[in-house]
Amino acid sequence: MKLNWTDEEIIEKIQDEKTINYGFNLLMDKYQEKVYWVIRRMVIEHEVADDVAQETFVKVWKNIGSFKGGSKLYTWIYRIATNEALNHLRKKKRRFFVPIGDIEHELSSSLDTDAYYSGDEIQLKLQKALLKLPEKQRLVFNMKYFEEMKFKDIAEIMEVSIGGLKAQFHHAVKKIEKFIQED
Amino acid sequence: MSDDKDIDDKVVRDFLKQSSGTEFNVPEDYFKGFQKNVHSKIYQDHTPWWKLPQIKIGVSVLTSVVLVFFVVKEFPENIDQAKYELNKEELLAYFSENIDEISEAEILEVMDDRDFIFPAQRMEQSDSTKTEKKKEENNEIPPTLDDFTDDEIYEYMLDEGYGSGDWDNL
Repeated sequence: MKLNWTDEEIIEKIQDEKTINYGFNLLMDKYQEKVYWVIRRMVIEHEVADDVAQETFVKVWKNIGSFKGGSKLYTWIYRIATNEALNHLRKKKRRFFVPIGDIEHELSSSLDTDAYYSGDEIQLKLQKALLKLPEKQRLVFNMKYFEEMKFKDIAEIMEVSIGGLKAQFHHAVKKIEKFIQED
Repeated sequence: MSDDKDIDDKVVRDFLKQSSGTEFNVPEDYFKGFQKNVHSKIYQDHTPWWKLPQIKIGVSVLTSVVLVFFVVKEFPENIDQAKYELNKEELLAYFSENIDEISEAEILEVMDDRDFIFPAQRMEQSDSTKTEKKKEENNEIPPTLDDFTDDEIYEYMLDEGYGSGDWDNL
């Protein structure tokens, strides 16, 4: 059985009515973990990440027919995933009228209590520093630093210019450095 | 690659080098069940609410409860009505024909003690019916000599073995 399907091959399967389900399963096989981890680093808690990741693939399924191949399949999927994660955080703030600082505090506390977080002191410190960043800077940092994506791809996912993106990443790194050195 | 390397994040990288191991985890076999969960969500989203299994089960249970309620409510009335509509002869005839298929417990359950007639009692009843018929026959007025002609009487006497001399003794 073939394991490394290209995006083009997957799209081909999805566009054929006879193989659409098979193609969608191939797509999930290829991207489910990557999508999950991008979301998880944003929403922190596993249960929330699970829910948002599932919603992401439901949206992918609903909109796959309108995917014309103008962008890469993986940047298109990541865009849906990051939008879902950011929307979740915004809804959370709006729903409970919580100030941004309190959301950071809440996420930070859930790191201490989460059964599925086992980072050591260093990692915990970095995560808490990241939670102090604005959401988009945090997202850029996560994709660049942990997912090791190229600026070009991140810019495509976030629909911003590469210059603007680099500026965001630069600010994020400086803030984290400051946090690490101060503490 | 140059565009990816022109931001100095050395401090952060050096800081993280002190760390070891993983940070975020997932439950065991989480990703194996992930696709199934996504398919369930897609199915739920595509299925109208009235076709969802939960709704179907709910409606079935509710219908059953309503049906059971009406059956339980109507059952005693139906039995009374059946008793009223069927007379004893019909019931007995039915039981006689189908006695092999009906258990004794079922018969006792359906019939009152006063309705139940044991075979011996039925025979007694039958005998008494015959006696009553006889009594009715006996109540008829017996014939007299005036009802018969002389020739009929004469023939009768001859049949009975009376000779002509016997006539004088009459």
